[in-house]
Amino acid sequence: MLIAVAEALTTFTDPVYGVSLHAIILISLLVLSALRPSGNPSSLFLSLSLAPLIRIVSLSLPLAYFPRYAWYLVAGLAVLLAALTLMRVEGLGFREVGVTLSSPLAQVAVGLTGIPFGIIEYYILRPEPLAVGSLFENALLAVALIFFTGFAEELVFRGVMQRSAVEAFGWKAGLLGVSVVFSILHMGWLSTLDVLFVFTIGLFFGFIAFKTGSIIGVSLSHGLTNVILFLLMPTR
Amino acid sequence: MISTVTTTTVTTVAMLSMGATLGALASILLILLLATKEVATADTRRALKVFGRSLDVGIVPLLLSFSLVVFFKVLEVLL
Repeated sequence: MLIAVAEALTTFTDPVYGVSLHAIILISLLVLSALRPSGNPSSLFLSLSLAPLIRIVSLSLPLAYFPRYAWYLVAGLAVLLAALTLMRVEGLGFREVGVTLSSPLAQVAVGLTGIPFGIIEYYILRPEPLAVGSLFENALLAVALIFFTGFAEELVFRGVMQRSAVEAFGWKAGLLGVSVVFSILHMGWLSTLDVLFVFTIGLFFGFIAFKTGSIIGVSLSHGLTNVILFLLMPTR
Repeated sequence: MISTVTTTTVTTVAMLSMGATLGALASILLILLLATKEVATADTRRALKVFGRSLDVGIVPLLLSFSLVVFFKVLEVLL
């Protein structure tokens, strides 16, 4: 709830107020995780701290110095670092957060769902094209989008956050809670329809990751969605 | 993303030239976390040591942001 208020402040009022509230939430979650130094609540608070942290870091990065297409790479790198640090602190291995290729064909099939998702989201958001220069540069950007947005964000939401939420609340409430947080963090696109769409996709990704025990397929789907949304559809 | 979580509001902020203020806020938060970590890890109680370690979750990405801010500011002064 507080994260939603902080996001609303960031988006609709003043990002400085929003980031300040996010900072308070971050500190509170870190303190709460320390009050119960082991077990589910501690893991849940710690993993939830990634939500305000993502917003603080993404808004404080000096992205204005980078070309627009590099923003995703730089911001994604920060998200990835946060997730990897949390995994180290919690003593989690890659397999435990779903970085494992169980049933590869099924994962590829899940990955391909990114195509319709990208087309639908394009018609909701109609973002400016991200495409740059040559085909080679665009291919590099596509790889960056898949890895630094698709994989990094899925590692945070489905790999780390959902894992601890499911342990704490059970799978139904866990999936629902993480999907709510995931969609709230999309408020900045200023589209209620997109928030609802992202919530639904969050539930779908969460269910797939929970059932297959792998985030590879959903990462591919997420990355492919972004490639279609920002690279392919706007330059048709 | 879908679309992207990380860059939703970045465009607006970059346009509003608020980067400096937000960078300063993040730096203050980083200093606060680093100072707290020092105090927490100096204590012998287990809970505080665990707390100190969990602060790394916030410290590491904020350090990346801080390093980039410093790097570009130095570059701006030099060039």
